[in-house]
Amino acid sequence: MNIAVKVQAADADAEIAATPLEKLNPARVDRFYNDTIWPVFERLRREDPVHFTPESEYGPYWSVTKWNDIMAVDTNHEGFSSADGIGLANLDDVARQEAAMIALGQEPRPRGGAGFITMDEPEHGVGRKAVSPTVAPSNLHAMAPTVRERAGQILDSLPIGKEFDWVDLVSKELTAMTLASLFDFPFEDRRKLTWWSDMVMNQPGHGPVESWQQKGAAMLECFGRFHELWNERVNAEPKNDLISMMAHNPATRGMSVQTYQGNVILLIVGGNDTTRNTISSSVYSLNKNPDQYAKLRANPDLVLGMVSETIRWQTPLAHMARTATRDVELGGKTIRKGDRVVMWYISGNRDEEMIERPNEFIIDRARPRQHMSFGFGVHRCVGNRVAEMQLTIIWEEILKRFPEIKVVGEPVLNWSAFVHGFESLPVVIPTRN
Amino acid sequence: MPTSPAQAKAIEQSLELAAERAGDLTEAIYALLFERQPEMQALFWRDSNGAIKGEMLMRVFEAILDFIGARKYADHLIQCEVVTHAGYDVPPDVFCTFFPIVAETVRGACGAAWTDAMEEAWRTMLADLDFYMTHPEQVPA
Repeated sequence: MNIAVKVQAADADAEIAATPLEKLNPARVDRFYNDTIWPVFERLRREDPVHFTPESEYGPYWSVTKWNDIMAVDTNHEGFSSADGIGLANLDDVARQEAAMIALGQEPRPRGGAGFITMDEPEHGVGRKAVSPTVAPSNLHAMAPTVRERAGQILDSLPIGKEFDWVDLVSKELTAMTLASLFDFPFEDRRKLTWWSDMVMNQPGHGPVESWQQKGAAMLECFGRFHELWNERVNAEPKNDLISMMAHNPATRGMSVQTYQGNVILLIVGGNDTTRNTISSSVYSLNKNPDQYAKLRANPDLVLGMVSETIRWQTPLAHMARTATRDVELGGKTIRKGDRVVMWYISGNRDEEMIERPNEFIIDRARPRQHMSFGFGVHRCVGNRVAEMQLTIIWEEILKRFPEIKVVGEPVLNWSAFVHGFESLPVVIPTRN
Repeated sequence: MPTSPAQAKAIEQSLELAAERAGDLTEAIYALLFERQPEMQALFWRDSNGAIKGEMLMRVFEAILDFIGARKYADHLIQCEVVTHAGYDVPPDVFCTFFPIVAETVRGACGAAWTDAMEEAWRTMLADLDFYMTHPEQVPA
């Protein structure tokens, strides 16, 4: 169920232009849901690239909107901490979530608390090192044939000439399969992984979440299942799945229950939402740019460039947030110790000073990989290569099978200023090759 | 010791000259890397069109220009890249060889037009870079 009402882009443009700069709150969720966010960031890049919003549903926060300023924050983990959380949190939602967990007999999770990504050095490095071998180049090389086989199975099972939801039948399914492999999670229960991810990232009224209590119960179910898996793996021979890696690494095997739960959330959401939204976006973007789709069909070698361009164009995680550990000068402004700072990757990826014709979707750019969707610095997405591999493989297999995937209606977008993606995308595949 | 404005200019001139004379240096730089560190070649198994190597090198050039110029982020970026590359099976000691390989290739591309000032500027910059590569831990400013 989605409760927001779509607004016209022209109305939104006029409203954004008329809003006093100090009142501009770029994290307003309805603008992401309605896809009317772009003029906000264009204005901020032009008029106030390091922008302070004094009052909002998230409290006061800074917005960093240009490429080089984002780089300066993202690579400076000494000056900008991740420990308070990597996403802007709606303060009312946090309170409701905590109340729901207390009602379920649980202690509220610590703020931040999403595993090693919400830790600073040196603790962050320990957690990251424990899981990174799973997604290192050698392991991905070994995994690629399985991903290809599963991608083929998904595509071969799709209806021809009949409308279906691409997000559900393809994007979620492929990421669930890959995630199940990475965790060595029971394959028949793989869609639990995407469901838990949706439960974590949504609020009541959006995605599958109906109430805070239901959301809390889903998280407890997820943690319970992963504790069973931990107990199985810690007493078994070491393997190269994510859980076994953490259970057998001397640096992580003694981690607290809450840290393990945080890592589970991080790996499920990180391995799921971003990839699946980019898969959905690739279909939508190619349909919105039929010249580019024709180019791809004529030259399948452009898949690699198209994948990178979609990752830039979509920016599946719109932002990452930090907290200043000391006073820092940035773009002529003084960010005070303790201030929340949001790096808007979605804006950096449209920075006219760094990227030529940034508002156009061009699959054969000279520098297709010039984007900041995976972040920079020590928190750079650990699974970026898994994401690229899945996207590349699914499109190589699509082009072998279908001359066209036709979008037959507007998508429903996520209700989120963090995960920038698709709830649903209606498509028809008219025929096979 | 950071590069002086004159040294920064000499480095910029050498990069422009190398690009004029040899065009895209990607192939030459990675050929030298793989000759010196053959185990690195397998890590690029997905790079069938050279875009990964090309983008990495562009970021290296952008980082060099920021490092010798405004230094908005390059010092911190280099420290971070030492850490993140370890997760891509690139040990820090191998990572540290990349900038000297870039310097060597640029020098070769410039040929007879390479000057003593360029030599001095690159040597100074590499020594400065080396500090960040061998000290990836960020300390309070």
